Amino acid sequence: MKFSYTKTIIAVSLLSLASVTLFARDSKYTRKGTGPQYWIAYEYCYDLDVPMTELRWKCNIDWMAKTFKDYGYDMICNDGWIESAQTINGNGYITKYNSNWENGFSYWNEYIKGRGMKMGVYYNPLWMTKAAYDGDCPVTGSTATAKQIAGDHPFNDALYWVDVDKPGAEQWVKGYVRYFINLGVKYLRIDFLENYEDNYGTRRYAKALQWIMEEAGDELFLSLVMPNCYGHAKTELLYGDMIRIDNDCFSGEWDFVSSRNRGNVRGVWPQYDNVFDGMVAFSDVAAKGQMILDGDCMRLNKLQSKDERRFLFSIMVMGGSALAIADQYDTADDDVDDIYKNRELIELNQLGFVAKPLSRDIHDINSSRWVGQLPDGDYVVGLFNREDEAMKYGIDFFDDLGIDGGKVENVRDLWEHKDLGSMSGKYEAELAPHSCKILRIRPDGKRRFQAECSSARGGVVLKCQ
Amino acid sequence: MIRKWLVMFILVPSVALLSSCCKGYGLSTVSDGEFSGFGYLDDFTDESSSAEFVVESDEDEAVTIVVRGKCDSASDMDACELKSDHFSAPVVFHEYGVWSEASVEAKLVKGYNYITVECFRPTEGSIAIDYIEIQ
Repeated sequence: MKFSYTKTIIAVSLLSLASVTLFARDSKYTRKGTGPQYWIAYEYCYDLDVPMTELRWKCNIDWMAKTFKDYGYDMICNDGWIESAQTINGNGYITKYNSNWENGFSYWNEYIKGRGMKMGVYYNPLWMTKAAYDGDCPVTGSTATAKQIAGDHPFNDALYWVDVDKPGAEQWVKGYVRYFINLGVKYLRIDFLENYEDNYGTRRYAKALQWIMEEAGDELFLSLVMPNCYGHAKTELLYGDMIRIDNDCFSGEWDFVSSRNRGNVRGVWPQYDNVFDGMVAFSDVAAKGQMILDGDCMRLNKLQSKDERRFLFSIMVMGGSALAIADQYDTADDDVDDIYKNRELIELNQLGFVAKPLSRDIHDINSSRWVGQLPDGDYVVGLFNREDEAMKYGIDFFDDLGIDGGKVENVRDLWEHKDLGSMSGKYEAELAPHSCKILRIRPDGKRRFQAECSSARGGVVLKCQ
Repeated sequence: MIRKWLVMFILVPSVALLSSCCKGYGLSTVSDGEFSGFGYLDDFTDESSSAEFVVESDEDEAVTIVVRGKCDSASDMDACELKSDHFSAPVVFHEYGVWSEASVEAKLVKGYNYITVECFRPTEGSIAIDYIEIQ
């Protein structure tokens, strides 16, 4: 064989290209950087441990359209308690949230669209209903049938897992994703991922996520729920748009926000038990072009005070999380509505704003001070008092923000909607327990953009004071 | 003896004043040995390493962008570039082992500009980026 330098050079070039490490899924969602604003059907299901009723679902859609749509909350999503979804089409894919409902996804998608919003679906395309299994449905695009691709470890009595190593599994999984896209679904909330990884191993888990991602492309937002996040979410970063970084909302009280098992970390799901710890610990992977953090849904009606409500909403905004309302038409009052309607904070989510804590150590008090920067050069600072006593918090304009001369043109309080005027040196305030300040700070003079507030990609790491 | 005390009288406050101009002591500008703000980005080591800044401009404008960074190695001083959809230019630091500034002529367009600092080849050491400044 004749040796070809040209071919060798091309081959070496291709190899070097292939060796460029990919760190995160590149999608229009990760490029935006922040999560969606939406309503999710969690609260009723959790409180009563039953599936959502169809009438309540409708009432909540109507309430969201009337109350929050104009503020950018433009999506409605079902939630779990999904075992009773056993009505299937010829491919074995579910057509309704619940078999007792009169209408299916197709009907509700049109209903939601008719109110100017879009539909998300809670489901895992690796699931196979008992109905599909018992009916041994054919897997479209392959010669396999449902029973041939079911794994050895079912999820529970009503749902099997698909084993991705079996021929036909890829067609099932990708077919399910395509089915949801064709229904008009814009967001897929894929739950119990730790259960799949625990039972089928990381290799098969990664293969499944890759198939889902390949089919979803830019047509479907992929929300990964209950992931183990081994290796600091190394696998999830590659294939998802958003990851849950803390345990479930459950009853939605202060323990969920900050105090549940505070300061402790596990090696598996849920690595963190409260929103604040999770946001701090995963803040290094939260950025445009990397991963969106999901602090889970909010039940502001369950929090004790306006301060606690503002605190939860604020940490979700500062972390770039989805803003997911789980309150309902008959549990939310005007005080709750007002928190979700803070346009100055909503704007940050809509701009793709993601801030960073001054420390990623959840035991360090500096993790309660967050800083980010907007495209116009303004800084947004979050000061959070997680403690049960009043404490003084502050931000130094030079040391912490890097503003030469330490002089700022204006400080604006985004909860009080008040300009506090120009300041020098630093801003300090005593914060009541479980309260926060969110400040928009306009620097005086230079248009400087700090690297620590930018979106780092690849193996780049943030080093702090 | 008196002269010695006079020198001490003038020198000590001067040193204290200069020290106060360093990071951590309050008002002034960032010193050569320090980074600005609460942190910086490190470990720019290969083609996957980058940082994106979103910069809003009121109008189309020609600007100079100063990039503040630090290279471990002399061979890495020209391993980065600054680019957006509207310009691309090498970032060349003139020193290594210390924070230094490199200037890039750039074009901003009205609206949002997505400006990326990125490594375009594997580096010998590491490169850190502190900030970019639009002038």
